[in-house]
Amino acid sequence: MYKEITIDPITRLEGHGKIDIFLDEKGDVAHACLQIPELRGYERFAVGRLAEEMPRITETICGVCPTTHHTCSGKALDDLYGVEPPPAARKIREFVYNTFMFEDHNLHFYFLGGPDFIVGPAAPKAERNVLGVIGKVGVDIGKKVIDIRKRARNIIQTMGGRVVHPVHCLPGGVSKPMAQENLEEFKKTAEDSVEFAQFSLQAFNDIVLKNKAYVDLIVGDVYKHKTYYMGLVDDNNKVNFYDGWIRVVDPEGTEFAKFKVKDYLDHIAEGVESWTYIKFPYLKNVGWKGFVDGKDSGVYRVAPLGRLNAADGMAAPAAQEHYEKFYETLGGKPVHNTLATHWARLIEALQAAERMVELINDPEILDPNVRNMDFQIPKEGKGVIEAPRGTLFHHYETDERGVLTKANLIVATVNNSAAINMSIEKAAKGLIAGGKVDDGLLNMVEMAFRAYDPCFACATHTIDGRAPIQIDIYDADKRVIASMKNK
Amino acid sequence: MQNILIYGVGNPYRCDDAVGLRVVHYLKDTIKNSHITIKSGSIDGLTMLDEILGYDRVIFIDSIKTENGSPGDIYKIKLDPLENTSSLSVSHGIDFVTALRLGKQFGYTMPKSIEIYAIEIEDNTSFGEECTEKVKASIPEVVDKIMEDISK
Repeated sequence: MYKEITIDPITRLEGHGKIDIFLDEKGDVAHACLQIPELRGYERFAVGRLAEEMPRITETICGVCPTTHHTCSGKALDDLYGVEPPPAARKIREFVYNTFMFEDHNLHFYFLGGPDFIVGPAAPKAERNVLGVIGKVGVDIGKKVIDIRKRARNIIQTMGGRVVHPVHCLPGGVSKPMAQENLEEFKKTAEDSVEFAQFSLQAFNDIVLKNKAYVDLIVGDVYKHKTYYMGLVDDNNKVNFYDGWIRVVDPEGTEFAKFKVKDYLDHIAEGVESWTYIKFPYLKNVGWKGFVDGKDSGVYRVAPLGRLNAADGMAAPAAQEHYEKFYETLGGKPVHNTLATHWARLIEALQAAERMVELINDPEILDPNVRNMDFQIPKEGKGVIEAPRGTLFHHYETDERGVLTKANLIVATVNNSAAINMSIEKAAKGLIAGGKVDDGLLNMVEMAFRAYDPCFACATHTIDGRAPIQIDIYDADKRVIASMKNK
Repeated sequence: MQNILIYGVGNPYRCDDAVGLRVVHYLKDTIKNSHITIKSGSIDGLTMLDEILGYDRVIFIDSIKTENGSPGDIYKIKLDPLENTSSLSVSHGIDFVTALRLGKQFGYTMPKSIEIYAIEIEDNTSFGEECTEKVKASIPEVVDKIMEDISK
């Protein structure tokens, strides 16, 4: 059949972030569950393939953070083949990666999380979108966002070969050295990125921090969870996006664990609940106690708030100033308020931009030696990186030819899945009673979602690129009693 | 002569999701014209906006799932979204229609014509590098339609 149609909005059924809320016999909330997409399919698909294909295959898991999967996979291959990339290769990878972090974090603030704060949480639904944001900050600022994003993506395109699914990370290094001819342009982009990140923090200060209602919302109890936090840190315990130690702090902010990726399975396990097939990662040495806050519960959180809480500071001077202001304003470390993630994200964008400047001005980045091919016989490789939305693990096992026999991936959203469920449950408990569902439920759930920036559009795409939400509410007999969608 | 962009959208490892990529694969072998650019990938709305600027006419090829469609059905969707409004809230990723409206709001010179060939699919959740039979069978027809279109 062939037909010509004009439709708006374009609809498609795939890609819902599906949430199930289960009620007890009194009609009150018993559990809430976000259905995270199955990664096991990708893991099975990987088995039997050459390990060297993994950076190009796993990056298709997500249309949003392919650079993250690509780079993490490249790091896992370094480990698999026992090769350390030469200094210039590491710097090129870090430069590209920080450029990606800067770009992705900005995109989130202006276009994705922005509707909640720039337009306002109480604004009419029709205005709470990117066009509403542009209406509020002005077309010139909107164009500035687009322009700096485009220039950042030009760096990824030039060094990564492709902007969406880059191909530069190879075991033991990168595919090409940094060319002298790109240097001036990249330096200018890096410097302008710092200026832009500063501008964004100023905008956050003016629009959000000067508005008491917004600050009250951030510091309120709605999405507050006293959990453990996880993030990568350097040798000085400062935030690092590309590499370092995986550090975990307890709900009081005290270091609980600090380990390298090779030991991640000694620290992370997956919890199982009888009412869902989804597994929930938790801290093995604390234990799984269900969806509860506190020091006795192994639930941990990742992403910008988790990273800032897990570190002792930022690794760049201007970002450090904002880090200090962040904790002064929000009452000291750790900050447990989920909505503070939006602010933490902008502080991280500044660090990423400052790091871009540092790396592109390092003469060693021009060294043409960008590949170490002294490969060892492969057996097992593990890689870790900080995705914009949290810690990501890639773990491969192969035979002696480098053919995969096993793959294990823990993506950021999965790391946060228990906490996301807790936030949904908390919102649901306030808005569902005796089987009656308040209309504000969808809005409250969306707010939590955007703060965590979960990635449930993984692996397949939708024609309109959206990640809509569907909530189904079940009674004690597991019958659907209400269903709502944001489209 | 107008500059045309033909863009296949999809994930190469999710069965029918890749149908746009498969169509483009055939077109690349067939079309040799310096005014026609053929690309493919899996991208969000904003990246799409970057891609389409500078072209007079854009043709996307993508997969679609509708409530009553049969696998292999072909839809030609003419995008005329700029005058309409719709509330769009997303967790990440800007949808394509919003990106187009954004481009217009910023005063960019947008393509005069944007069309999407959408192919009704059966399976985009399994892993595999092949489309299902009915979807695969529709590919030559889509290729023919596009060839006919660009010769006009």
